[in-house]
Amino acid sequence: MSTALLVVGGLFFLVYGPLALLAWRRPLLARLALRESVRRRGQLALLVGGLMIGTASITASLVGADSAHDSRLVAAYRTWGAVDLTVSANGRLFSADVADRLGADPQLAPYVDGVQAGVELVGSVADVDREKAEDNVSLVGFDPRTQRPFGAFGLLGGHATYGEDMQPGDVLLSEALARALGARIGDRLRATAGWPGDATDLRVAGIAGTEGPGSYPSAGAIYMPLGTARLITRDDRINVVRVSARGGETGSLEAADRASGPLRSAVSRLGSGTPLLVGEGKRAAVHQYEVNMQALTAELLTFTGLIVAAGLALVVNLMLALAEERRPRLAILRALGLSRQDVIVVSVLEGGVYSLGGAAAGIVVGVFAGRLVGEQATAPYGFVVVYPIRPSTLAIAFAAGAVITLATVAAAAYRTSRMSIAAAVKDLPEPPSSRDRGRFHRAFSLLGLILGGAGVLYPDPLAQLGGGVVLIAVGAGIARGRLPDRGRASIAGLLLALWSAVVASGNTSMDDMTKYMSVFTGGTLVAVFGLCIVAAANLQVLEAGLGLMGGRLGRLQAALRPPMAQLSRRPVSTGLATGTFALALVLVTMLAIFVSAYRPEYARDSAGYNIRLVSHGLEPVQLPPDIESQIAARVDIPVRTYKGPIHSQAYGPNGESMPVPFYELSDRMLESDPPVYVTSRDKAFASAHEMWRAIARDSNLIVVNFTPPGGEVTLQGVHGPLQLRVAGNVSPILDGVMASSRTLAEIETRPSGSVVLLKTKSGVDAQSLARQIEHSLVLQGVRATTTRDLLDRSYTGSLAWLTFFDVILRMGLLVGVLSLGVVGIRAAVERRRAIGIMRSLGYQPPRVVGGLLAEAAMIATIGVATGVIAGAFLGYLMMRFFIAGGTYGIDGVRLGVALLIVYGTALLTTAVPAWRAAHISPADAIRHTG
Amino acid sequence: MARPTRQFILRVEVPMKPDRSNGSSQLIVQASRLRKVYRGASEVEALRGVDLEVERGEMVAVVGPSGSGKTTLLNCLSGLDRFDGGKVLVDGADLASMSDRERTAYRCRSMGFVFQAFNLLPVLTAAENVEIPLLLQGNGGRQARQRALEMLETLGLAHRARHRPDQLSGGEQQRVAVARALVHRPAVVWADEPTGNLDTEVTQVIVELLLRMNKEGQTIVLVTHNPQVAERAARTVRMRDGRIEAAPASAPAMR
Repeated sequence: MSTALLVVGGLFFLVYGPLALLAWRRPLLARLALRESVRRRGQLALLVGGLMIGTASITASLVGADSAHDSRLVAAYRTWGAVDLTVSANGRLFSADVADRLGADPQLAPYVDGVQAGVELVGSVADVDREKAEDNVSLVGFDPRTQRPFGAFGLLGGHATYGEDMQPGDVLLSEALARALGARIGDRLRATAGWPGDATDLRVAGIAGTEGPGSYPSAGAIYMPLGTARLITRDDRINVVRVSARGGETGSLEAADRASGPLRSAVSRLGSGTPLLVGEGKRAAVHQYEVNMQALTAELLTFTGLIVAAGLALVVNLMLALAEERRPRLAILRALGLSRQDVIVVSVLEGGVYSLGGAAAGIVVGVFAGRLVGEQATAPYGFVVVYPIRPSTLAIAFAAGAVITLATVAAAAYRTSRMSIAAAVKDLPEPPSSRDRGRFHRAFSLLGLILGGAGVLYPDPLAQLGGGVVLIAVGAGIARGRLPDRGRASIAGLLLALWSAVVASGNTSMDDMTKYMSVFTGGTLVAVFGLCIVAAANLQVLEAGLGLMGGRLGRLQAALRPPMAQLSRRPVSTGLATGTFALALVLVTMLAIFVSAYRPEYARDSAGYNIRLVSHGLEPVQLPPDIESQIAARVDIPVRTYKGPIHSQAYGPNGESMPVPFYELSDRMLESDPPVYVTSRDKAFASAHEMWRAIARDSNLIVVNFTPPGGEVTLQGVHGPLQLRVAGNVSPILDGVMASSRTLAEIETRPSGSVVLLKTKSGVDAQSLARQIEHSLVLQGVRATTTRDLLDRSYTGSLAWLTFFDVILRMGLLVGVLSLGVVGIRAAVERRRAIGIMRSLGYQPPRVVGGLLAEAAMIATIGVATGVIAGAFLGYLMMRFFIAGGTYGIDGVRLGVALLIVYGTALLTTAVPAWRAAHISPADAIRHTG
Repeated sequence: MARPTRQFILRVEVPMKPDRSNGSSQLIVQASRLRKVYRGASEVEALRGVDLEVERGEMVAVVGPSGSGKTTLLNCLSGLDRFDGGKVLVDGADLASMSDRERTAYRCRSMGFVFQAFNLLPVLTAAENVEIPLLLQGNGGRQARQRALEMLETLGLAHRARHRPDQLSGGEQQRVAVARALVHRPAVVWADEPTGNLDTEVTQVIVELLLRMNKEGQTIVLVTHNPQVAERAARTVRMRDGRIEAAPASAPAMR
């Protein structure tokens, strides 16, 4: 049972247990609460609908995170299949005898089901019949004699094979590669992998499905018996031994862990001349996914956290509206002899009914929303999405949603219980409250000061943030009556925004991603609500502007003044309403910034080169003269591949699944700056040129595009583990690692062809020239792509990643729009009398509607302004950490469309309650019960 | 003897002095066979053919037990509520033939209201509450503010102009309500239990205020439970079960 479940579940029983006891001991109060809750079915439905937002958001977030997590793990396990461990020499060849000897080792035998000799290369494959080539293809050689423990290749069409029936030269294509090449059974292929047997002719014997070994070790792969693989390597030796652990189950590393030690012992007993390493590729893959998921989960929880907060603000609004509507009836109960505590109990019991209903409904909605989030979070990676609905997840969401809602109800009930009975019975406004708020308030303030002070001093940013907020709130409470309301609200709001900025700017450690994002989320919430309170309190400036209107604008002034005053003179309430909206806008703005940051600038990002050629051949790429004549400049960069463990702080490749390309930069190239755009660099370097010069001098420095500058990458060096520092990032045209020849000499890599960057002459169409090159050089396995296509592909991938933000964003907008509807309902409920007075004084219904719509527009505008400002700032911070080298900007079209939708729906949502409120009979509205 | 909480001088300027030269124009409110039915689970006939006339410049008190239809009568006469039968002419205008929009405009132009619950807009200051009727009539902001302040000064509330209702005492709130009812110089001021929420001392102040307004020529129709308040009016109309029990002839002289 998880700690979270214990805490939340315990809290649930701590809260609802006493409630149940209270209901049992005070049946009258329970009956009153139940009758009140079901008195109006429509209201009940509305409340449960509104209250479910919190639970739905929590559920969606948790289910989405679970789904994304499990989908990725399933993908990791599926990729590795029955291959639990490997033995290799970092890609170098060694005797095939190693596999036989390991297989025959009696001490190892109890731990393994299968040991298989294999060859794994990376290269390009051209389909001669389709005249299409693919690069970075895994060429997997397997031994059909020992394939059984690793499973049969399930072929599309229904057959399965262990490879024994395959003829020399026959290969199986993975489903993804077959799709990319458009290949069919019987097609002639030509494989190039930087080995002596380059340009080996092969034949497609079948297409392997993704179940079983057909996913190993990457999506784009060809599988061939060892005999065929030797046609490429021209060598009897192998470069990998695959081991399947005994008792291995899908989704478990236990068997691999059990076999790992005995395998190492067995390898050491071999006494082979070649230093052999035991690779735990499956564990590394699972670990890498876990690391990536931590970041994704943190991001997911951050953004849904904002939605939950917005949902809670909506719940608070709903509860305040409910408390207002109940006030006269509760006052009668008070007059009949119910104590304040009893009133709170009735309200809380009633809230208990709502919160349980809301939580239950929220679970159902949240599960569906969570599936959507999970799907969006994993879809870009082509995984099979799984939807785990864990009872513990649902229990946490249910209990958290119910407890949070109930806490809100209790706070609203406490507020209502302080009513003046005489005023409330007649539904009159509360008389002015005494400044002396009694011992309870003083004790509460003192407790707040102690807790807040302790939080600020505690060395944890989240505690500091919370502590500061408590101190500011207590300070604002103490200043009540001593400072003008406007000044008090402005100072408190500003302090909240400043404090969150101070705490957030000190929160630079990303070691614990969840913590980092929690502070980020908390800071966002506090800053947004603080700024909203400041904006609301200072609407009086606009009011003053209204006061300056003269002559014919008097009627407009009359229409606008009540709603404007309503907003400006209740800054906390307005801050709550506008803050909900602002949170949604924060997400909209951040998304607009991300989209803008990812959008490529072709000329800059390609450094002026239009075409990239990838060749896995050992010989330099020879362009035909007719093509050569269209080229203005050409740069050849040798590529070597590294296959082995690689660790980085952020998202990174799994070097044990797929060799990582290393682009070798000669001293001459480093002297004159390599032809790539540097998107970001370590602050230690004043310019890109200085960075390249440093890389030439310092063999510890590399350039990558998967870890931010300053980060570290650890891999297997010639003399053991090697730690390298990231000097900078480059555009995605060169995907991998860029290093000097000196650095590469310290890493176990092998040649893997070259990359050629071409600059076309003026007037040459790069797209058709690339097609022409690929057509001419297809048999050499040369892949030609325009840099524009490469940048577009990278952009599309990034946008796909952003789709999950999009889902959350839609949830946020829904909450924002709903909250405006609730504000509209609150206006109708709470201001029934005020609207009646206005109508009796001569306000026409359209003017009342206009005023309420103006109020909604004002809330939306404050929310939009605050949300856009906060989102622009937070987007900048997020971009700095997550989008290396992105250009800061805002996608105006996306933001503009979102704002149009926001304003449109805001007005539509408010129009109905506003229209209804405006058509209240003035006589009914001002009639009182006295 | 009760001492007023605050001394102030009344200089209320009302629009229409009673013109006694023309007998037909004396009547400002004429209601005949007025009927009002509340329809819910069962029908309740709140007004059962009420006939009532109020002269310009008159102060009429409507009294009667709870549920007798006093407030309903006031709501129907003032155009706050629709009625189901009969006819109501206010200053020559037929309320029955008016749409909601026209009645609203009419209220804005020609009616002033004082309620038991004060019914000030809680988020607006005293001055802002008072200037609403002027702004609704299209007066400019500065002009409206000046007039509102003058009105508040007249009622001895100039120092409370920037206070919101929750910062004022009950008596002050009701005086602000009176100021709002008068500021646009309406034809009739309708007061529904204007002293219902006030103590004796403040009741006295408000009644004096209404009497002075009436003396200046302001027509006032007030509903009250308080016999001391009713007896200060020029005429008392007694209601019971939706009917007028006794309607003495109009006598504009004040006590």
